[in-house]
Amino acid sequence: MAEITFALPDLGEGLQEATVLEWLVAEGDFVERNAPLVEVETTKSAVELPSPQAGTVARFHAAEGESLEVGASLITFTVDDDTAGIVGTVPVEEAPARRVRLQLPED
Amino acid sequence: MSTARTAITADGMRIAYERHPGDDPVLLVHGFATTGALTWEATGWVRALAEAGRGAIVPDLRGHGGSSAPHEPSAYSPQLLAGDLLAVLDAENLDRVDVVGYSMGSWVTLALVGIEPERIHRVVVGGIGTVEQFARWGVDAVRSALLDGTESVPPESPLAPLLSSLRQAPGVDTTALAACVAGMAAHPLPLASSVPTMLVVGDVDPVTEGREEAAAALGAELVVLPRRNHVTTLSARAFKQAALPFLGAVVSV
Repeated sequence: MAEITFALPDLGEGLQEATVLEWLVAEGDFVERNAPLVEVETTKSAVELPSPQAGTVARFHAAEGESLEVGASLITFTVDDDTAGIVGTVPVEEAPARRVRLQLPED
Repeated sequence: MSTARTAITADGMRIAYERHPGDDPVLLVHGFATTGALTWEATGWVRALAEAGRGAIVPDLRGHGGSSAPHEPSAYSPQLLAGDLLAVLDAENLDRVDVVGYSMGSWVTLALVGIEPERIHRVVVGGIGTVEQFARWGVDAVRSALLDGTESVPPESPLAPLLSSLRQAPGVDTTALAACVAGMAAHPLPLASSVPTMLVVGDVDPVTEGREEAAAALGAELVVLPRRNHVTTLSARAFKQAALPFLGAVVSV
């Protein structure tokens, strides 16, 4: 088994931190990729982040109500060794930041 | 994948909307100074509906997002914005739908029920009470904050952080939003419903002042989410867990 840690993604528009509102999974849960993972609040909005990874939740790096800087560790998954090599590219393909544009379109 | 489409209203407005695949699509109606995508996609609603096998239709109301943005207050009222939704239902050939609205979108949803009740099955409205928020904080003050960037709305108003963030957001049509404020506030709130209705509010959301009275007037089941405010109610799992079964959807989470 291997561990993979994901950081809080850039939520856009210069926002440098977010607060964990509610974890939608529990430590020890197996989570499918793109399943609801966590709700976070910024100064402008609330967003639900989908899981960037299929795997077992090893641990959270922030409790509900805690603030995190963008880029700080958010969650660690345990995955099979043979998938660990592949999944390193997955977050790039499906950057959660695409879903959470925090500003009105410019038209 | 979803499809970006456009509908044309009876008064000639172009209404941009996204059609997300799935059966028996639910019409999702956003509030003031935001967009359909920010309100319903970023918060996980479209994903939750998809998991329950339901599609979604997510328009941008006039004055917002990718839709026409007239600058005259006379182009805005709860009924005119409800016409935006009717144009979308017509474009999609949908006879009857379930609708979820939030904040100003709740008033637009209720106006739609008033105009075409036979086309609405059930509605879930959220983030409202009995008080029209633009009039509550002063239509002129809100318009001035939008148009001139003045801090004319008291900081304790739930509108203040929204107006503050709009001032920093390039590309937002603040003239259209100011017209929307004036037009919406010039009409009575459509606080009535003739179809099965649920009202969902955050426990610490001042916008929902008068929530019990509003629920009674709507004949609605009232759901209060602990510790949630006007922004964080929208993304709450408890909101989806209350609304989806009410709309006849099977919830897996």
